[in-house]
Amino acid sequence: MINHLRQFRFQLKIFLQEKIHWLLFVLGLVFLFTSINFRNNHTFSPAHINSILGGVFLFVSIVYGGFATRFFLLEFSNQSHIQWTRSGFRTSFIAVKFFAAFLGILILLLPTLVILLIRGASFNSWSGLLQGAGIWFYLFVPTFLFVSALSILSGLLLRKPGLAMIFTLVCLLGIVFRQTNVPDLLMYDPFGAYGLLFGYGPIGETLQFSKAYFLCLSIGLLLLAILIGHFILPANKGKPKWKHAGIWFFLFLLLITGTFFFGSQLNNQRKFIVAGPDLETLNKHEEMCEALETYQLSITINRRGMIEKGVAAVRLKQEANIHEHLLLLPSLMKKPVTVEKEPGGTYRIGYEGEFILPYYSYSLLLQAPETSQVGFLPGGYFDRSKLLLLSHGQWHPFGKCDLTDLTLTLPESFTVNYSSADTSRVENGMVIFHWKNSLPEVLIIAGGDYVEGDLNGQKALLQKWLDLDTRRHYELIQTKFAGLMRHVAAETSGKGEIVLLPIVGSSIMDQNGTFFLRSAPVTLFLPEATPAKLEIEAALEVIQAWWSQGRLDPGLHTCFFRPQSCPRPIPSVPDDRSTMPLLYYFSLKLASEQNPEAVDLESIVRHYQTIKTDPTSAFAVPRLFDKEEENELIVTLFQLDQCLGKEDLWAVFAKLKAEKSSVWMDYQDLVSALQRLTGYDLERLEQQCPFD
Amino acid sequence: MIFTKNLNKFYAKDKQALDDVNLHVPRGVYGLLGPNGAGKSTLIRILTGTLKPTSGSASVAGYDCIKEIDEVRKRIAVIPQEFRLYPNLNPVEFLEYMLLLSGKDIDHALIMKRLAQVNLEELAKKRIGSFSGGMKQRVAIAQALIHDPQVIFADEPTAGLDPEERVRFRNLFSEIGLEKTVLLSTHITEDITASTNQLSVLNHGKIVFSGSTKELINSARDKVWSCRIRSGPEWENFKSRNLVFSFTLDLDHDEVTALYSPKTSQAEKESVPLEPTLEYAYMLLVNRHETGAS
Repeated sequence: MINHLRQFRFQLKIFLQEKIHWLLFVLGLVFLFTSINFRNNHTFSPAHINSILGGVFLFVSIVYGGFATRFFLLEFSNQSHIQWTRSGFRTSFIAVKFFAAFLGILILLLPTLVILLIRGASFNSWSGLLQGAGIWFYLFVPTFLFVSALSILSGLLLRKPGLAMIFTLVCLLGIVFRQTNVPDLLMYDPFGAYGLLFGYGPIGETLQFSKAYFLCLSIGLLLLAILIGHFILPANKGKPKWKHAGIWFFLFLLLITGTFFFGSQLNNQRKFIVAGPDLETLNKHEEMCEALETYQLSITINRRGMIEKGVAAVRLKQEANIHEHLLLLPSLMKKPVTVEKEPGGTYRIGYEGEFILPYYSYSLLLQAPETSQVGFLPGGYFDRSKLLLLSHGQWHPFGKCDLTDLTLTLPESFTVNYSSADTSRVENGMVIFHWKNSLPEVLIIAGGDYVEGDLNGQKALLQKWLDLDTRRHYELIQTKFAGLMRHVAAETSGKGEIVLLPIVGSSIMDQNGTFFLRSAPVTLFLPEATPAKLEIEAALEVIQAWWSQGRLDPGLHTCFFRPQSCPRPIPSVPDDRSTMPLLYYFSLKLASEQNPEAVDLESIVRHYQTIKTDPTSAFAVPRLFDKEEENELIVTLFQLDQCLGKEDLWAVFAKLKAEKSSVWMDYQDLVSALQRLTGYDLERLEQQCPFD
Repeated sequence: MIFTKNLNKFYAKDKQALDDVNLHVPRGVYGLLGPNGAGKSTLIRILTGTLKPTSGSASVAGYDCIKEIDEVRKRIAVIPQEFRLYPNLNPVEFLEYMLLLSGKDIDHALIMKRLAQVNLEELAKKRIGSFSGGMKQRVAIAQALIHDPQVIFADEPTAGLDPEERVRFRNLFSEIGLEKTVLLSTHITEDITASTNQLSVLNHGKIVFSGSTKELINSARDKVWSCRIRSGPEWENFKSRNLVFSFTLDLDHDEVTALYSPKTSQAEKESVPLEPTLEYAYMLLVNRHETGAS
């Protein structure tokens, strides 16, 4: 063993001393330095880390494939008689070469580790360092193990350096550039590193399966190479050891079985992850919600984070086709859903299964417009250690309808960080939570690395691994939240607690708190964010949460979750987004009040005012709306602000929210409401409140 | 130390590389002489366990080359005709690695001793990549000695070397031969003459001679002659009747002086008998084998 380790040291030295291999180091550095804007404060944002690792990962691993094949063939060409006739040149030599090449490439890519360590340290000093190192190994180890194994196998089988290198490169290019869905079985790039960086998110699970798959495949290929080498290596000619070959073959079979296992798990997840939303059925839910008299639900979640038993008891006040409206996440319908009608007229719907989030529910990337509007519809996320449940979502059969009664049974081992349940009790190692009548939007948050913390003196449930950038962002949000509350406190039903949730989505505020459903602040994904942009986006996020109160995108409007209060059908892609300029103006106003140096409200409004006459002004406004009248609304609101007085307009805004936030409101509705609440005729506002 | 019995190797049905090779190599330097493609490298590959014979048996240092190849490998070393060293390592590092590959611990004193033996002491810390062909060949010899093998297979070790290096190598082999068995495979007769008096001649996969150099030389006695012939048609006729070893042209007299062996029992007129050398004897032997003459 010691001899092998010493041989390994020499092979590593040979790998590292090879000048051409330093091209990998140079490539790594090129990607680092071209990906990072060192002048930007957000250099270490997840977006950057992802692009850095992605570039290094893809390009370096392909080039490395060629070099590793060549390196392996150093002793396997016909000029290697000196090595072949040595007694130590056995099949173990293949393993020595494999690990030398593998460790060699990791050493050459150490600059990327440094980046992640800095990132990790900004999360949480020493522990963060460990986390950064863990992520680096997690991302790179399976990939380079795989490329090393593939290179060795092609080298061993072809034995001609040129031919083997071409073969390896073709294989790698094929894997990288073939057309695939994002969470593909052979996902080769570190897409989804966000979830991994933060330790949360459904993509993290896919990534884990993917890495486990690659790990099994790589070691399996290595064992296959050893096995083949045992029979065809010149040093072994004439004397195969069947006992050794048997052991290697058994291990090879074991790992290939592992590959099948993780591959099937990954494929299983993929099937559910790539599923699109069933918008047709979702839109019909309004009809179903109308028909419901009572909608009771009881679910039991087991230790593995699966819905072991879900029973919905539905009583209808008017006729409706239960089967036609029933909609659950595909992973919850893996086993047939049962529907039984009881003598009393109550329908019992039974279901069970895993809770696997479809990709559309947590990422707006690469989504069709109508899909992107769905937002966080599944309404929750849970695995073995994390649980988040919203009142509406596809985890119960009629996700858009209000539950009238909910019983949730969880293993006692789940750490509940937040619960809005009316009652809870413990029975046989299980905790039973119960909600009755008007359920708040956020039901429960359990597990995860949440700790009760403090944001500028305000109670908050914070992620354990909260890096300084994210913390600063949330402090900004808290400042905006406190500012908004000062203006509109009388009108709000929301409490001051802030909870930061791990999954990308929209913010929510209900009577229990304000919930920011993000795996990272949105501003971290904006590498060119200016202080003004940060202020405005933070204010908008808070105002949106306050306005929509338990619902999602205000553009989608309240109809999505409260169809009964919606006077007209909701279009798939709403073309009337009059609420957005309204909310945006108040975001500008709030940001300007709190940080006038960064956000000059009057100057911004002037740019909106001149868009009509000077199109170049469109480039100067922080956000341009599609419709002319929407851009003009910003100016109108500013004029009202000047006429009424700053505090009075906040009062109008609060009243407007009380009246209109839960019903459909288009542009004309908004204008009428503003005229009524302010007493000003908006058509003649120019005369009443001149603005030049 | 080396025995082969009825050793055969077929690369294809009609491509026989070794044909019933029976060989006995005792301790010391032993020459294996043969033209290119005679099967010398194939024989060495079989004896070193990197090629499986089609039939027959072979043993080295008392161990079977197939069944006990691990034991054989512990006791042998190879100086191949073509080899690849690690250009970025220096000779010390290279020899350290070769010791490890032989399953032995690193021994710096031994390494320096071997480097001194091949006159590379002063270059011990220099990159092998910067070495000349002769220097690399010396590294190859040092690696062959490093784990103290009983048998060394040297396959065309002097090919491509300048005369001075070649002489040095021959002396080195003679010296090594005092303690170990060296199978010196070559097609250069001077290598054999300078290093050993025991040899086998391999031609077309067959051993066509085994014995002392003296015996081989004696076999050519009265068969090597010198004579002068006029150039032109007479010279052309001469060449068809005789095996010409070498000739020189005298332009002043328009004559050719040739060293030759007659294909028949009759020498040319006015020929002078010459003392045979190993080279002439070897050429005669190979030619006789190829033409099927007795």
